[in-house]
Amino acid sequence: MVTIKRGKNYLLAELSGEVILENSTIAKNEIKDALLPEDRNVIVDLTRVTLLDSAGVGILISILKNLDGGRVLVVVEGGPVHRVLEITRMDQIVSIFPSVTEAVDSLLS
Amino acid sequence: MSKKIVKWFAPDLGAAQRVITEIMDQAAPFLSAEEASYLKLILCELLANAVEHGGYGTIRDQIVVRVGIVPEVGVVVATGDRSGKPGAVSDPEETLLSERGRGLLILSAICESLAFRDSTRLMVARRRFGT
Repeated sequence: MVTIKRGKNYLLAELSGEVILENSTIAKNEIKDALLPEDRNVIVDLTRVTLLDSAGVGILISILKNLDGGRVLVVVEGGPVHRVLEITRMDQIVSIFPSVTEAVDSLLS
Repeated sequence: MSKKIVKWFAPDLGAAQRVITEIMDQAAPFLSAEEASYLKLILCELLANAVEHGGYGTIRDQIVVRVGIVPEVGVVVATGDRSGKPGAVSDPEETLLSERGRGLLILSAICESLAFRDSTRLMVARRRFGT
């Protein structure tokens, strides 16, 4: 459900499937375990997520709180997952990108 | 012809997740893929709300969930019958950094109506297809 990768100045968490209820807790803990104290940028790729509920949205907040002033960059296409992010106004506190490449590029600029 | 589904589950998230899978198996033939996703999202939020805020005391307590599907019209989902008062719909300006409290916000946005009946302690969400 969660695949963690590391880039030069970011951690990439790729989520897939349904990020709901108990699945969200598992995913949140896996990402928190992967975070290092020096991490400042986390890219969360939701393009392969088919369903995201409020517990799943809580993952993004959890990461943000663990970053101590860092950035959370969310990759998402349109559809229900994006709509949930809009409803909960996550777009006001995280940066949203249509692809991982564009999210990574934004860290370089 | 409408479809009705009634299920009971113990007040924990694992049981909720299992009963949602059972409901979706029965409901899927009556729904488009998009509406099936919305029904599942409604179930996740309503059942999680009942588990976390329903005031159920022990694992022996049972939460009942009722689903009604009227083809080409919409769905109705109700949880009860012992749930306590749900939290108020969150103000996103105040809870932007809270890890909780967004469930009712999501329900309010994707449902035509969301009602809590204090006298019978039922929580009811209605969604009209295509909205």
